[in-house]
Amino acid sequence: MITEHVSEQDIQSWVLKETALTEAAVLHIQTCASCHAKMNMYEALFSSVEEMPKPSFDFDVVELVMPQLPVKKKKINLVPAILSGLLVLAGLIGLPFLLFDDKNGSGLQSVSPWLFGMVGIVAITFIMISVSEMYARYRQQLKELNFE
Amino acid sequence: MSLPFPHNIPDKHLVDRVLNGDKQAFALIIQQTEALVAQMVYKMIPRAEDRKDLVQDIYLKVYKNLSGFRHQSKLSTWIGQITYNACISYLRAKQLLLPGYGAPDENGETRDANDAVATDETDSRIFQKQRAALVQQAMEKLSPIHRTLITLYHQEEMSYQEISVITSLPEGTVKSYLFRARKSLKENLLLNYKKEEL
Repeated sequence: MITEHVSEQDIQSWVLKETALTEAAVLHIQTCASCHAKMNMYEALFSSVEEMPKPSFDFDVVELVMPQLPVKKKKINLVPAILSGLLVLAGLIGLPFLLFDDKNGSGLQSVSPWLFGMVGIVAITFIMISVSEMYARYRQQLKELNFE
Repeated sequence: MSLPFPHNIPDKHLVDRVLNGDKQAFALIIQQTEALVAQMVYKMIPRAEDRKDLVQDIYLKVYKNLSGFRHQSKLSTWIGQITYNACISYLRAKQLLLPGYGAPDENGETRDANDAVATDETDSRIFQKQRAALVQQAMEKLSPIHRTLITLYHQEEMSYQEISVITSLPEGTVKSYLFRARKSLKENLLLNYKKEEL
């Protein structure tokens, strides 16, 4: 058996089951009144601290914080806007050709497939953007209602 | 306020929902972490009237910085870190945080040797006498940082590693501070007991 007292740090760690002590040290704690008292003291102290009532706020934190949350600005995705802008521009440029390029007497017959395609793309793009926005709005409304 | 969410939603899912504009998910985060925040704020902030403003600031900071949360720790640990920093800033601003607060006491070993004899005589009787009240009083005499460390470890059952994240202190320093805090707590308890006896 060792005659030197076990350090207080070792006693704490042993009581907390964080470290194992040598058999000699354990024997010392069991037989030395001073070390044994410290061990008992820490055991009781730790269990008392664990049993202490936990504090809680005397106000509703959710109700306090939620109205203060900043409104997050939605990031606007500029890619579809730029794309549709370009297509509209292309459509506007192409339209006069369609209407006024009447060399052969018939406007529609003189329409090149290129122009026709461009106008078609513009129309389809507009429809797709509208549908996608409608769907996004619908998802957002569902989310707000917590139906998801 | 009751919320239409189950209470076992993973951190990542909750954070993603908040980042997508779902404020109800943030309310759930508050509900899940306010016990820990309360523990820390009550242990570190002495003035009751300042706690409300501080808690509001803490959660607004959490909301503002949520996009920067990298999931390297639990969300509660990250919020604990914000809480700890906010409390330390408060204590510094109010000059309640003395230099070297929480640092090991240079005279600790001497005091320990002197108390050893007294410990032998009184230890076994202390805990028969209003133990809880005495421990509470002894806790109140600790520094805010020591009190918080004891609470996080012994009441919130956090690991040294988690406490290290919250306090931004190296793990070894956390262990050393905790050893000192427990020892101070024990000594305060002995002093309280002696005062009661007189």
